[in-house]
Amino acid sequence: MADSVLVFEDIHLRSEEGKAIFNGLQWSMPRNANINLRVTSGGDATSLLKLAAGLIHPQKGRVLLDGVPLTPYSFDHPFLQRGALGWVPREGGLLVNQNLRANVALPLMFTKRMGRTEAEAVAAKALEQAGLAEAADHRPHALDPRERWLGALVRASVMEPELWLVDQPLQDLESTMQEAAAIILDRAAASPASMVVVGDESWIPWMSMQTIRLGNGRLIAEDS
Amino acid sequence: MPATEAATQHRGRILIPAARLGKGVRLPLERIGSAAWLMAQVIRSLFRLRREQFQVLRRVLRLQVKFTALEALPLTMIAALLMGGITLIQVFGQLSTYGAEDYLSQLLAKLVIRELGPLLVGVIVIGRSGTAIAAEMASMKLSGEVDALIATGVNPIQYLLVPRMLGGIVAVFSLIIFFDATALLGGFIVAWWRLPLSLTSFMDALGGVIGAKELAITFLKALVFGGSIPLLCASYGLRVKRSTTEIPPAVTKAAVASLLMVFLIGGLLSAALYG
Repeated sequence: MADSVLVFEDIHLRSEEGKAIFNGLQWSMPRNANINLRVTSGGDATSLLKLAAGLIHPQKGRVLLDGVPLTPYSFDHPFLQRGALGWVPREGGLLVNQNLRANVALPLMFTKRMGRTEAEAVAAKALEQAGLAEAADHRPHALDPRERWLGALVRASVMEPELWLVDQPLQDLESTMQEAAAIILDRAAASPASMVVVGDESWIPWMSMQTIRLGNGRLIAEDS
Repeated sequence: MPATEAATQHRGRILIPAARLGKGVRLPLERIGSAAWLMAQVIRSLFRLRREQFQVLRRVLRLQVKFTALEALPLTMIAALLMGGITLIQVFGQLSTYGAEDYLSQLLAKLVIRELGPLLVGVIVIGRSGTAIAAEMASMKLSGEVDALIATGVNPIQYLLVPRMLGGIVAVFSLIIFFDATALLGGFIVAWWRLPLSLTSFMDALGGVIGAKELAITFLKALVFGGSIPLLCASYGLRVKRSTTEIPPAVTKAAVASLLMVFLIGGLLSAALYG
């Protein structure tokens, strides 16, 4: 437990409609582990990632992030406050009233205390490396959903997080985007960071990851 | 479905009528409690802002003031000009019956500065900006923007609510000053048309009424209305959970609750200060 970056303790989670999503889920993710999460029937990876980020809370049980429990309406969790979480949701979660470069720069300025000029330069360079240089000046509504997802991946990468939570994009990525995403994830997998990447697409560098299947509210390691 | 789960659901269905007991009292109290909690969180977050974070918020604050104050200025001034004129016509009608026209400008100033200015600016700000804030927050919640802020370490209370509250205070205070000045001008135009009244005598009479107390009360009302309208509207917007169909009812509830709050607090403050 001490070496776990993420711990789920007896998680019971129900949807708004009362449908059981997790019923007594127990799982602990070792530090520096790279997990490729593959969803089978009855699995809800998005809820699992939201639980891990403290965005939803179980009706019973608790989630520990870096050893500290996540509690509702508390935005001062030390792990989150130091910008150690790399959050890549399916829809991107980019602020619609700012362009892509400002979106990538925002957590650098707010969380990492970087000056605006430096943060925007870092953001512009990272977006260029991901093939999003032309999209940098556009606001999210002018971007393709895949570009929004890739933009969120870039936003996470510039923060050099300790734990990545990467959901699947809403649509299949084009080959150039696949390459860019694979490079970012490969680099993260080689770093001391831990990561959970959802999906079974061929471009995910799953060779360097442990595969875990999520189905019917349970997590099962592929090799067990 | 396992037997224990079915039994739990059955028990839940039996208890539904009992859970509804006292809902009419409980819900408003819950709302007041959550609004007070949010206000406390915003004030706490404001004092915990670091200098670099405040630099980031400056842009959001500037946009909020521009939208709430600057862009609302023409509407506010037209409303104030007409309100000042109409009020003076009504007051003149009553005072002339008793031959008390000398008190015209004093009465107008008291009515506008103490009551009409803050109240009508509050209504204009709710209609233009409060509803926009509620809709914006609801849309941000549904599109995952609020979640992304939390997960990337950007405290949403600091980033979204603190600048809106500060912007609201600055905007409401500025609008009240412009409203009062324009309403008094409207009153003077009507008075000048109907009475043998010079600008000098009108201004002299005003000078006797407007003092530090009036300014302090204007600032107090601006602080209360400007701080609470954006927060109350944002709290209704952030309550949406799943669907865009929840946005219009959330905006309506935000506007109604804010109007109620402005009238209630305005009335209580006036009763406490002048009663």
